[in-house]
Amino acid sequence: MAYTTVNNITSAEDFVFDLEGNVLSIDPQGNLVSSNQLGQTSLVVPGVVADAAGMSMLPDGTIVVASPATGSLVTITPEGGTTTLLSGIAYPNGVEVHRDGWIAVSEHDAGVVRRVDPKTGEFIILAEGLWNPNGVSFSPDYSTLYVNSFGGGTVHSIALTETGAASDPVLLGELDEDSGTPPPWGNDPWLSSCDGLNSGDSCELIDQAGTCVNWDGSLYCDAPDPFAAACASLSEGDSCTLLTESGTCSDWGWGLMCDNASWWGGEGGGLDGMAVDGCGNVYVTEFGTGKIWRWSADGVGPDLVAEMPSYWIPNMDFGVGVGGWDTERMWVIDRDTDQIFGLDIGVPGRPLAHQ
Amino acid sequence: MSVKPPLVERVKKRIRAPVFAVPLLVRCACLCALSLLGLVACPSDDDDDVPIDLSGPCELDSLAGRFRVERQEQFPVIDGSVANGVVPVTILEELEVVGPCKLLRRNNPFCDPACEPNFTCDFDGSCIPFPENQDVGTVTITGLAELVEMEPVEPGNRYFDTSLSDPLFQPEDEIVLEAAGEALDGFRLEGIGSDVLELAEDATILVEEGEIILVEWPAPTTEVPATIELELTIDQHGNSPVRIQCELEDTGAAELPAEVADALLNAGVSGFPNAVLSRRTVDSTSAGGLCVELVVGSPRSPDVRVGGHTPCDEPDDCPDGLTCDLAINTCI
Repeated sequence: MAYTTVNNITSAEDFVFDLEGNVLSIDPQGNLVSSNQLGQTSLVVPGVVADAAGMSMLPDGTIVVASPATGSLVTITPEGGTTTLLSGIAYPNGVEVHRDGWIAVSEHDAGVVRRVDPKTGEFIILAEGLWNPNGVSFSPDYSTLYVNSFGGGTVHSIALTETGAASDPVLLGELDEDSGTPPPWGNDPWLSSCDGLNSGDSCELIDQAGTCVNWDGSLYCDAPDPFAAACASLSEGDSCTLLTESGTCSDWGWGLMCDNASWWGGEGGGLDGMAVDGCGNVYVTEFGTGKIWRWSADGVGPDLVAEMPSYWIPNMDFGVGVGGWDTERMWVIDRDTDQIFGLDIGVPGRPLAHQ
Repeated sequence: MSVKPPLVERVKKRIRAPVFAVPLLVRCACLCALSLLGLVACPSDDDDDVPIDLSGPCELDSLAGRFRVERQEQFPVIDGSVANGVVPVTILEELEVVGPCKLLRRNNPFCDPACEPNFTCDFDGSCIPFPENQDVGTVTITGLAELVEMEPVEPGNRYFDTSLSDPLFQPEDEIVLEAAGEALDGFRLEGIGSDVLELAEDATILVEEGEIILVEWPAPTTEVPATIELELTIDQHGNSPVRIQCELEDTGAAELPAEVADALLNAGVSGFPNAVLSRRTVDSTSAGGLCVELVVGSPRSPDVRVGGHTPCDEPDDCPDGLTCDLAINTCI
């Protein structure tokens, strides 16, 4: 698919279009900055968060940012006032504002999605039992919330009612490119290697010794990464062995690891950012591959929309029609370099809460 | 296809970061104008060379506030805040000390049920009031290109100024921050301007298992007792939030022991590597029974490469024998 590139946009995990033609984002120093298509970047509010994941804008122009370093949601008023709206969130990640003004935030490490009141910080759990929930987005009529899974390769839909109730998550689609037979150690050896054990007990993570440690009520084995250890003295492309399984030493951006596509059946896909167009199609970016996938509202897909020249495209949104940010283009931020890609989708995005 | 990233492993421990006490001789000559306003006592001429201590950073378990005076890559930045407590999750666990470096891990405390708004989870599983930023009165900073006065911005009692002259400071500038005091008592912090850290465009830190990590930067042209702080993170996406933090002498280069690379890689890698290299001075003092610090410096972000991963944008970026896979910006 054809795309344009806008350079000199601050590298960030997520961004928001304001209604004056600017991209608002959090730069690596934690500053809220404003960038435009002329390559101009200005400081809006310095040092608002230590780090930032998802961000969105409330109807009154207040920005809400997820800060994984402090496990919190932070709001920034147009005047620069900041409030920690809610804390104690185990890796807050995707953030989206409903047209009624409430905030959906995925709690990556707890497997839940919270609905948060933007004034009081009070919350309810919209969905739980999810695997690494990451990107979130609403359907055009805001009756459905979509959430994807980083590492699970899935997209779920959650039906919403006007009373605030939510249905159980329903699988909308799943990446099947990595389907295969799970290896002997299962899909989650970090967790399964502590089955039946207690915190502090010794554990064996495939072929590495460790100790079971408690995290969020679950026990994980803290042994060295066996996939990295299997390639410790090897080179990229060399054959490697884990127990009786054979793989190849590969580097997908985070060092040499023993890998075999068949090991990750149903668990591939570091699904990351998410957007929905005005027709209800759901778009998801994939970490590590630069791919953008699309499912229809009724779950047909995934279709490969584009493969961007980047291995981290953490988020995207449709333009608002001001400042050159065309409404029928989906703008995809590249955290690898300071740029945004504009993909010609041909339909506008769903209306945003602050539009 | 991507390798499944390793999962998080975290335990409940706290660290106490070392406090660096750096004795200094700092000429005190720039506060007389403020003394006329009754804000600062003006030293006599006899006090031209006043020995002071830059107290270094706060310990993490008492770090309640920080002010930054920084020449960042794109902007001059002054901001800060002082809270009435420490958010537990910001207290990192010290896993290992190797040479000048510490391997730190963020541990997320767990509370069931989750804490209500305005509360946060502590490491003992209890919910405690979320620390609130405090009004510390008018904050004045002297010694910069211009006098800076800031009032707290509501909500949140944060201090910042986005209308600053650039360059914000020059090497050897003696910078003094004074908070007049309001909800908390006033305090005074000091810093010294240093050469802005200008890294080469292709400055890169390579992290490979079993290999020394070479860090290079332009040596300073002035004698300022600044240090170089390196923060290096490979792991992202919440799976193993571990970082390396090193305090280096400002000589222009440092060789970090191979154990640093091994410790970081063994902690697990699952995402985008990044680093911040900062030439800075740090001072700290007590505020409200906790600790507040002033950082004066110039942070920069060199590229980071993890062994085996060579980034590229075009074929010529790759070494002989490799080609550039543009889809993943990696030489293969």
